[in-house]
Amino acid sequence: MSDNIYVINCSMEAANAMSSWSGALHFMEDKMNEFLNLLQSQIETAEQIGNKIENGEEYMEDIRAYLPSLNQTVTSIFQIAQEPGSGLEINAEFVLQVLNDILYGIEHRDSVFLLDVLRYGLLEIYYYLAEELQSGGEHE
Amino acid sequence: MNNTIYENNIKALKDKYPVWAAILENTKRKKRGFDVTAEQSLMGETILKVSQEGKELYLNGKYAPSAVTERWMEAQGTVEEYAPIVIVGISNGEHIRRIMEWAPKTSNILVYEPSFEIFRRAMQEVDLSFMFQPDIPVGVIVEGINGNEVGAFFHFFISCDNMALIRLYLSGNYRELFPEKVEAFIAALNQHLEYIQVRWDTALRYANVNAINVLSNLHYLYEGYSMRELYDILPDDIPAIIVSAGPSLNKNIMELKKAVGKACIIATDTAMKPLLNAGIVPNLFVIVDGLKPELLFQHKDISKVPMVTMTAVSTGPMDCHKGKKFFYLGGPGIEVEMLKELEEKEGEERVLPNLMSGGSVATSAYCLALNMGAKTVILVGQDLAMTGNKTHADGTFKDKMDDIDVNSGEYMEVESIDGGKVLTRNDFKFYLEWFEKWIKEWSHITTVDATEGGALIHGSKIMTLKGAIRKYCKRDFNVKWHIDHSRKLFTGDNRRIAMKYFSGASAKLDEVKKKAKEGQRYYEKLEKLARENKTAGKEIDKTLKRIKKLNRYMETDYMAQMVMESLVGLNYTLRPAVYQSETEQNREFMDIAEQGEVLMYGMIIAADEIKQTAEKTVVKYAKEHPVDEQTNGKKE
Repeated sequence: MSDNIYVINCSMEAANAMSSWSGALHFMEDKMNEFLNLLQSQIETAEQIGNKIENGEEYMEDIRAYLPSLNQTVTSIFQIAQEPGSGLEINAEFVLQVLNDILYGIEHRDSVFLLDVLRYGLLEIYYYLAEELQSGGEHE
Repeated sequence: MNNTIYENNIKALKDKYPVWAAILENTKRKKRGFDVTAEQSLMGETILKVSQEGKELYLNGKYAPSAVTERWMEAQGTVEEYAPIVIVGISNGEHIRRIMEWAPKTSNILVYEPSFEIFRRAMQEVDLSFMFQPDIPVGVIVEGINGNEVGAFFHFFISCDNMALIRLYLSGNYRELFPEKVEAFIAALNQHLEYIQVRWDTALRYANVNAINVLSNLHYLYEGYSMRELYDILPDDIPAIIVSAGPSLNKNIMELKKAVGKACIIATDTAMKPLLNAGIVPNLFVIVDGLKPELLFQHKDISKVPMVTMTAVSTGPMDCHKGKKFFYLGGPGIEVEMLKELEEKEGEERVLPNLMSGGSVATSAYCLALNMGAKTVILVGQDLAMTGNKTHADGTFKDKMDDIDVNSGEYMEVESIDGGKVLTRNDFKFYLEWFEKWIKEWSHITTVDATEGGALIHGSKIMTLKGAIRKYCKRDFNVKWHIDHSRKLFTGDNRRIAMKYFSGASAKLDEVKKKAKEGQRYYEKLEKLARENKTAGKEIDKTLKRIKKLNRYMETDYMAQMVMESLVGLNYTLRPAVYQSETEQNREFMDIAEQGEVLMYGMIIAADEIKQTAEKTVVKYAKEHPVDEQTNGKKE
């Protein structure tokens, strides 16, 4: 009987360990999904601003209003990238360069520069991350 | 500076435009507060940045500089053969290279660079040698080098055949950096397109009457004078007064009496009756319209005033007017052939000069005044607007002109001379812009607007007519004496040249008809071969060769041209199909054959109709006026 209890105790310990591990996994998954949703909305915003610039519409207010959200998103990107098991590789230097260039473009009201950095800098980062997250971060 | 790139670029530039290369090498000046620097994109491409009075703008993006060009090309869809492409901004040249690769080889590409400094920097930093290769359909305009050639390039690159296909590429930040130059360039482009459209509409409007008018009026040319006889007869201090028939003429017409004998008074055709009714006999009047109604010229004194005209104007005014007629060139055709032969015989210029026209008789009169040597031109009755809600002065089309319907939707507001607004319409606005453009261009000429009403003509001096006459009409000058001592075109034995063309007109039209029938047979053969799928081989080559020879005849023979011109309406219908290429060759040949048959059929009918007119006019005149029986032409 005592052996059985031991086994049961062992099993319960194992079960507890397993449940906290899978809990961690679920937690990670939820976090990633939440981040993916955030990314989608960021992509939409950046694309909208890009389209406005391309069409010669007024965009400065929109992009200034977007800056706080952009800041937060970049912070989240760095945080997520640092999470173990995220599988995301971020070139921090590139991300910071993009941020700086966006600020430069806003400061100089340079629509050519801004459109280029939004579409081929910022959105490239977003598309990469979204693809990675959607593919589950699986790599060969 | 990248010396290798620069040397390579200069070599290519020297080969094509040696003067440009010299300008570039010798111009050391730097524009104050303006700097162009080269940087590298993330992909290693050279991109340019401009600093202008503290403001910095990139001409290209840093991350994907070529992407914007790719997106533009994608948005264009399929580009038709011969489509002209206009690019504003050389920038780093990559977009030009890419567009040249993408566009059809038959497309003309026109590149406009508003900044000499950017051009210079680009030549130093990026490979532009591809733009200066021989035999490529690329035209380049750079402000500071050949900026004054914009108009010439437009004429060369854009015609009525391809204007609907035009594409425009505006390089990044050029509008922000050079707003005035870019807007001026685009405005000039739009004006050119409008000009082509107006010319085409005019050609369509007059197509049917042109041949009839020319043949009916040709004997007046034979008896008349070249407009060249009037050139440079005015001393610098004698102004020309152009009298038009705008509504404001009613106000100040009597003032003109003080200018008689002290200026050269040139009237538009529509202004003649009000002037003659007021007892004012101008020195000349101008007519340009092939459809002007005879009633404008029905006045007992009309023949006292020499007319400046062309053979294509309506026959009514020409027949009404029995006085001296000075001719300008109406177009290619029988008169050019006659006068070329006269020129060869006499060894001096006899082909009629062109009278530059802005589309209206007043703009033509203005150009005439300048050709006559006027350095001051006073405009009277040049409202270019619906002053007092009327189109013209009283006594022109009606003794009392009707009011316009201001709510009809066809009128728009422009600035008036008193600082307010006045209504005008599209055609007047077109002429107004013409005056403003050329007043600015010909800045050595003083243009006074003494209309005392109507639209503001920017660039002109606004004065009352009284004031303008007091200031500019200071001494006597006998314009009439010079006009009276003009030399006729055809005198003595040279009259036989004209008579030869007159009496040979019927035979010439028979020749055109015969050629058109031949053409019909060739096109029918082409159609047959296409249907039978025989689109390669000796037979089709032979047929195509014959068609090519026939087309050359139709394009170069003077009588064939006259017949062809009378078919402008038909051409208008067939033309849009010209640049549509079919994917299957036999389908393409079928289309060519069908269109060719229609055109040749039209030529046969038109040749017959015009022959009837020729027999009633020039052929009859030649029979009734054999040269031997005419008195020798005398200088009057």
